[in-house]
Amino acid sequence: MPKILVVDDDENQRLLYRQELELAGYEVDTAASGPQAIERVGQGGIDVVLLDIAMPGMDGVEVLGRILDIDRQLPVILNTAYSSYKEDFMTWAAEAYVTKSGDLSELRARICEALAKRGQSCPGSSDPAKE
Amino acid sequence: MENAVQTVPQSEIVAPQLLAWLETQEEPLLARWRELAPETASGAYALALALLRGRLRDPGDLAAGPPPELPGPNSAEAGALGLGLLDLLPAARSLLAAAPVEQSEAFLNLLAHQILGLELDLAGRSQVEAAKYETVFQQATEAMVVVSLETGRLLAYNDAALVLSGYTREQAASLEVTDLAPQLHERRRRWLARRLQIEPEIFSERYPFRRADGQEAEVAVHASLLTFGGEEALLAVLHAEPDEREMESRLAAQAQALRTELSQKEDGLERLKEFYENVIDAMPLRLIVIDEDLRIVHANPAYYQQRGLTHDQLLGATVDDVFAHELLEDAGLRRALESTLATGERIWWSGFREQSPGHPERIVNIRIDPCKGPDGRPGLLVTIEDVSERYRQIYERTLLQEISQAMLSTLDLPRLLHAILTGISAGGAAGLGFNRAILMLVDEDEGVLKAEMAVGPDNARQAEAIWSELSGRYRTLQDFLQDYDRLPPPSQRPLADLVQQLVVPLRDSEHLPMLALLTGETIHVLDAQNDPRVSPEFAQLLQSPEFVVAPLLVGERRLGVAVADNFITHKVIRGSDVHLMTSLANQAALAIDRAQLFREAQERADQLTVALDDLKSAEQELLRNARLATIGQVTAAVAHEIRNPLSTIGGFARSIVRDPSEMQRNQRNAQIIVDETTRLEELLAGLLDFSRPDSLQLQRQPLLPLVESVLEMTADEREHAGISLRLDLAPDLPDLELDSNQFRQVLLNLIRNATEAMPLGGEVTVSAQPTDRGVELSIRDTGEGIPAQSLEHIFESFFTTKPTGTGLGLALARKILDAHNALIEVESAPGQGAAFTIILPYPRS
Repeated sequence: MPKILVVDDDENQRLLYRQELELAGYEVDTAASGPQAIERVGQGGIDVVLLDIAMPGMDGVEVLGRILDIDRQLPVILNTAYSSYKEDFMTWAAEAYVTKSGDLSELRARICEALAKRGQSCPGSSDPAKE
Repeated sequence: MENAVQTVPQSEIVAPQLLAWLETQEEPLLARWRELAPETASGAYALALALLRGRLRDPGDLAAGPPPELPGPNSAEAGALGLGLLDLLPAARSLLAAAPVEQSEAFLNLLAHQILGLELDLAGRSQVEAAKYETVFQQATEAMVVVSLETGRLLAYNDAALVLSGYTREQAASLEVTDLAPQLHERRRRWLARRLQIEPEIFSERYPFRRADGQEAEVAVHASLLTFGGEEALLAVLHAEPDEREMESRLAAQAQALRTELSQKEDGLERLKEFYENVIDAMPLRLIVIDEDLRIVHANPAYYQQRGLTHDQLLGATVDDVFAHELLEDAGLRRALESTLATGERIWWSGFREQSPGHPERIVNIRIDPCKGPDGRPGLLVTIEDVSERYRQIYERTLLQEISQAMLSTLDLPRLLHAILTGISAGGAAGLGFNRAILMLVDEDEGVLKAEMAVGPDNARQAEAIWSELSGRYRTLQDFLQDYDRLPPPSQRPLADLVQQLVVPLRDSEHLPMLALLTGETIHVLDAQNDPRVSPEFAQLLQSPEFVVAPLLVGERRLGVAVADNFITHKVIRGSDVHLMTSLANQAALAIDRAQLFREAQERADQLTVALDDLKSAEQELLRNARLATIGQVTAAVAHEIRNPLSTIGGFARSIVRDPSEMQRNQRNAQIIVDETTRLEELLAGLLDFSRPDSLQLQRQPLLPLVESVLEMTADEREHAGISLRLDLAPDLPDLELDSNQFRQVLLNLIRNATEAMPLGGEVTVSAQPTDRGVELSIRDTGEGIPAQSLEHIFESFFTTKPTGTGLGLALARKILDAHNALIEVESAPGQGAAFTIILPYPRS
């Protein structure tokens, strides 16, 4: 079962992603800040990172760099309320860029694509979240 | 022709007689005009007469107006009022200089028209007005001489000049100017030529002049430059006082006739006495009769009364007793008296300075006629006429003209004030000759009349130094004014202390100088110590018993006063000086008004320039703000705050819709949705609060609990970022008037900002101290600091340096603090962190 690390400072957002991704058949781990996320990635076993950008302390763009320092092959999907971050060249290093939405289908599609590139398959061809 | 002027009977002159006289003059005048180039003033004059003749011969010409390109014939009125042809000479000269041939003709037409206008004017009028004609005509016969500046030869001269000098036309042809004016040698002429390049006209009231008979006199001279046949020449107009000569010659003729008659009568002595009493004694002229031994045998009342003596006291006195040594010996009066005794020739002198003890200097004309004394022995009739007033008028008019020209030549106020003061204080031909002059101007804003500038020495020693340096140098007003550029700064000039101290409140209407300003009258103070109009302070500052204060008024507007005195020489201030000061002050007021208006206009222009600059930068600011406030920017700033809860709500809502049976999970998710909705509502409320002035709920309360509650609220964030807290709170702070909710918001924003400024950890210092400005609460971080270019903008809406900031936090903080009458200040340097200090006012007890 692919393991996704959800990094977000907003607790309810973490709850949402955990619920929805677990329902979709992923194993979910969460981190509430950049340093926590880096630590978790350092421990290994993560297949995809879902990373919020706007966080107090270390912001997502910086965390992205640090994660890639640890594992250059690890796909990181940036998930943020800002659309303008697409223009920040640092974010080009990310696997994908998803604007936060109540509809998580795009996010799930990006995760599947990222896993496919790593030669992994998405859990359950029958997507329970599909509407 | 030599005595042309005298051949016209003065008292009965009427137009037909003038015409008849002109008839006899026509040929010589025209001949002379042909002889001379038409561009000379003499030629012009001759031509004018010829034209006048021509016009008057043909009555049809009388109806013809002036040539259309020339000024209108107001000259008729002006002429009748006594303006002479002489007044046209400056205009004539400039016309002649500009375009000699064509223009001179135009000028001559004008001249002729002016005379014609007079003639027309006179045609229907009485004999009395004919006398005015006479005056005008006499002025037109001013003696005029044209001198080559290079060779000194006389190039032209009019009849009056011949009369004045006593030469015949034949003699004059071989004359050089030094024969008439010994001083005017080549070097002097060159100097004069240079001066005349700068000034159009030079006036000398007493220029040394030598007559054909060797007598030396002084004449008033107007000198100017003209071009004469391509040669630079000097035109000298000599004031020969023809009226007096004529009057006296008539008097002499009458006296002679009477003498002839008397010699045939028995009761000659009685008749002579009667003649003196009835005629001579009534004359305003001062007359004395002296015998061969130069002793006085008779004097008229005008003479002895002026001396303060009786007739008998004067009898037997010698000329040495009654005439000053300078006049008698240096000026040559004794020689003249002896010469007339010996030759029987009449001598007429003008422009002598007469000094006698206890009297101001006078300028007199003296005439010496041979006569027989009461005892039948040969004697001399000496006639003395005081012409000071006439000279003074000429002098004053010229002086005032020169000063007002100087005043009108500048719009720069300091330079103008200097010109006015120099006009009052410069001596000689340059100014009124007061020792010291001060200008005080009204300052409405401060409600005072205060000294702006003064010219003159500080003390007697300085005066001596300055005056001895100036003595022997002929200086015009222009020369003095050129010194302005070399003056030290105002604070280092003489009289700077006086200028500094001389300030009078505008409301002090009882005393000088306000009294002069309010009444509009020039005030002449003779004894400052005992004059109730002089306040002790003013007297103390001036240190001068006698002074003049002239108001500077333009219509109703009171600009200031001019003060002048002779505090060094203590020279008596005469009525004529006061009169001159008044005239000068009138001119000065106009000039100052003009300069002040100009300065105001300039200041207004400067203000407009500044306003324009302000407007430009405001426009730029506006553009910048507009850019920041574009929808994209606002959305970017607010999006994060809205999108997070929104996506949470949306996500969980979908999950509830998708799995409605998952009761337990949905319960939790619904709660999350409620929480996030509340969060959104709060966010929205915050935004709305910012845009809507919130009423303040002030309550007197201690500050520290509020600070502590906010620090508690933000403890997690600090811990998270590895930030330590340092507190430095004074224990005995007074309670303050605060809206706790709003003030808490301010603190929260500031402390969050501080936390966010140190993502890699640091220290927040919160301190509160009572100071004399109020309670100063400051929040200091050890972060990156705020770039200098951002410092001035940080309190503006939607200004943010943080990627996730809304740009509302500090703007809101300041708005809330404004409502508390509190101030907020920021201090920061790159790398040094930032400190925000709130200054909370103490409550009004």
